[in-house]
Amino acid sequence: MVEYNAPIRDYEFLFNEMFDVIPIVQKLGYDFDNDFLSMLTEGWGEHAKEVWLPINQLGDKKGLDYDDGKIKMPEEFKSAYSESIEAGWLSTSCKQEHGGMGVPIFFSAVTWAEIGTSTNMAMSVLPALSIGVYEVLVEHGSKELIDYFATNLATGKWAGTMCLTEPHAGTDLGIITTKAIPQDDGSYRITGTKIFITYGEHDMTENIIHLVLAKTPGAPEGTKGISLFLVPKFLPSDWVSGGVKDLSENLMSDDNGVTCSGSEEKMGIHASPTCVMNFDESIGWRVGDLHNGMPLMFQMMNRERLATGMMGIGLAEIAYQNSLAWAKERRQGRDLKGPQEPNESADNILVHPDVRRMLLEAKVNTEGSRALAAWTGILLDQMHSEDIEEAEMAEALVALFTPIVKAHFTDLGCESVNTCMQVMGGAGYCTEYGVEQFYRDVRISKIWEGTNGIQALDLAGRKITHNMGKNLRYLMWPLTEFIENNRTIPEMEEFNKPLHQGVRGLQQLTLLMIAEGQANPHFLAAGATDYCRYFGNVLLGYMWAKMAKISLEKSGDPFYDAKIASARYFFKRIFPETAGLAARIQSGYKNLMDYPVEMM
Amino acid sequence: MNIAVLLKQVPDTTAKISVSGGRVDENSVSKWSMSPYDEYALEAALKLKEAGGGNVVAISAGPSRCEKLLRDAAAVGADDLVHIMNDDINNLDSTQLQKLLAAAISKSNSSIVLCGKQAADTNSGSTGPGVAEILGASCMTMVSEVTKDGEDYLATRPSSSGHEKVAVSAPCVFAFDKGVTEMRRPNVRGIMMAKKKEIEIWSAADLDVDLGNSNVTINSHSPPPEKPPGQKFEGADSVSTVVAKLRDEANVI
Ligand SMILES: Cc1cc2nc3c(=O)[nH]c(=O)nc-3n(C[C@H](O)[C@H](O)[C@H](O)COP(=O)(O)OP(=O)(O)OC[C@H]3O[C@@H](n4cnc5c(N)ncnc54)[C@H](O)[C@@H]3O)c2cc1C
Repeated sequence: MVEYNAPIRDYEFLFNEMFDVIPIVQKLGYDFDNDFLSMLTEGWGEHAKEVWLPINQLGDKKGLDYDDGKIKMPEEFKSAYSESIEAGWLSTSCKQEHGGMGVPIFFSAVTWAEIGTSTNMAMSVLPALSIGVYEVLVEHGSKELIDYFATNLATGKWAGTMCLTEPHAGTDLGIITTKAIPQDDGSYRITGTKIFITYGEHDMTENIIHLVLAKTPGAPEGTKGISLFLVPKFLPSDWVSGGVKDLSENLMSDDNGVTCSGSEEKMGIHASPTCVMNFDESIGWRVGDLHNGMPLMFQMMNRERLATGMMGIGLAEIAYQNSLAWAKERRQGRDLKGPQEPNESADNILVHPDVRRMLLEAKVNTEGSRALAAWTGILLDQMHSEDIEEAEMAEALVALFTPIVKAHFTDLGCESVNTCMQVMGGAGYCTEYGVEQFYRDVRISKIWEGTNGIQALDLAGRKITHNMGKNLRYLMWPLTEFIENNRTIPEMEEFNKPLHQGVRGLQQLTLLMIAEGQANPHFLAAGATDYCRYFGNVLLGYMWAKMAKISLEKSGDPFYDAKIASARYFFKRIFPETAGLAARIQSGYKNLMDYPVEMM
Repeated sequence: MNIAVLLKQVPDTTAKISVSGGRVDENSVSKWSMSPYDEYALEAALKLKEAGGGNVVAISAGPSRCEKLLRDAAAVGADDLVHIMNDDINNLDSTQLQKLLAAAISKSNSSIVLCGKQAADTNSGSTGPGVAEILGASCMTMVSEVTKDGEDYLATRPSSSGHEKVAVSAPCVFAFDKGVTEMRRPNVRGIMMAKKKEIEIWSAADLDVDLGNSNVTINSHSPPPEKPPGQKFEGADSVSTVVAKLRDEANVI
């Protein structure tokens, strides 16, 4: 039996005490308050626990049925999905005019995403994709497209997908071959094959709206020639011309040349279809300007990459809760200092330092990541501020944090689920306890939405120098001010001092990466992953020092005392890995590139 | 006529409680929730409304923190929200509190009242009967279900031989035990509506209630005795020991 309780207290702490989100979003024009936020958090936590969690193992075992181009989802998934739509839980951040709830973005990007992936990752990606498509459409689509598609996407009546990957083009999207041929009526005919398309085909919704990357004839080479198209699976039965305005409300029934020719067998998320999609002269409409597809996709990526990072947190959280519950019951061996419970046949395994190490590593990394996620989620809202300075700051920080949130959270998530499985010994490996499923499910998060290696390159190669280093300044100024302000507080020293050293190290490594990287791009690329992890550690260090600061003022209460103990664990046992990371970065690229490739 | 539900906000059963000066230290309570039996009462009230109409009026007495509780009730479907504002609710005795609640019920134009059989914090179990006494209404205790039967109501409650269904007419107070249905989950639309809902805030003066002086003084408090440690038996060999203990020590078989 899998256990789960949404981390509601932690979210209250983060959003209310640490980031004081209510005045921030009120200033942005939202009619939002504390009670409303906690009702949403509790309500969603309860819904997901009761509607999504009970079918998570079933989805894993049953998977989906692929038969002759059609995918049948488990019936239980269909009814749970309808129940969630009915209750309004899939469209919290969409605009009210489209049937959404108009709640600030941070709720759906962070709280919703974490709880959704914890309780049922395979299910959660469907609404996450639909909302991603909705957002691109609403921000960049023509009024006609918005009028026709937005409401059904927002309410979850129709689902969305993102079709980027092709058989020969995964990371390197510049070489895609899917073609879009313009028609006289303003529409396009799309032809090509896309692979690995999540929820490309299914029977959860009556229509599926694909966002497809394709190239128009004569478009520039590489990513600069890519445009973005919206291609529905079905068209209305009475559809005659290419104009969207001529689309009617009639039931979609005419095939649009979109077919699914296969569904992958895979390691995890068995109830999330991964499809080969063929577009055969399918009718579509351009979203945004010609040849501007990649920037638009990247915009969507900020949101999707945070969502992917939340998968790391979500699965680490549920794995932790279950391995902790199991550990509390398990007795093996004796406390090395002498039996704790001599009347029992053995002591509880929490007496063993190594078991505590594993559990705390998962707990502390997950809570630290959640704090940074909360901040990033609020920044996503602030990006829309009318106050230009606030919007610029938010945009710069989101750009900087996105690769770290994606790569570091999913690395930590995979490591945490792995350690939680280890806590449980053989039981962790067995299906009954659920943790082995989380291990398989979480693994994809390091691969999709741009592999973690690519995230690291994005950070080291683009984000730190981007904007003449302005991104970095928006972080470094408040961070160094925080360190300065805490220098004279004795209780903060154990957190502030290592953080200070870590920040100084980060500054030196950044200079090294830029200087050496300019001379030799292999240097930068060889150090990128370690640099990204170093940066991630510094950001989590900043979060833990801040959490410790708040908690020190409230010590005596078990919640805050645990936060202080967690901060201590972080700085003593996790943060020191930065020294090793720095050494690896400094070791350069030769140990990699001089290795005789024929001997690999 | 309306259906009143009395809701009390209590420290959440998962919250850590600390006691100072013989009382629960309110400031240290990290989470407040609806008292569990009240949840059953609220669900039953919503069902009655769905079957027979009338507004569900959620009434809570307490300090400003109770607003959250009332909004939670609205999120699942309570129509009207009444907050009897009192910052010092723990220093009122049961009679004083019942006077306030009874006055609010009358003012809300409700002919039947649903509440929990006891609150999860104080457990005194006097509110339902006490309010009924003041209102001159009948009172059904330990109720698990109420249905409408023409002009009357049918309440299910335990009897010596199992369960009995008792017909009763308004005005009546139903004090709920564990009900047959758990309280429904709120949906987002409900939460959005709850956020916008007006809350009537009434003071003792608004209700024309003279609280008078408390007739109750508490002489002493003592914590419950520590639970003796449990005993654990493993393996088939221990069956006879367990049976003997259950028979001789626990007197359960
Ligand atoms: C279950 C699942 C669901 C998916 N869902 C979708 C979806 O809905 N839509 C969609 O479009 N795609 C989807 N994908 C595809 C996914 O995004 C790609 O698999 C991913 O981007 C990696 O591309 P690739 O598999 O072609 O790997 P490759 O690009 O071949 O990469 C192989 C390795 O080389 C590295 N590498 C590649 N290029 C570079 C470089 N320039 N510098 C350094 N290292 C490099 C990579 O980091 C990786 O380690 C899904 C994949 C899976 C498995």
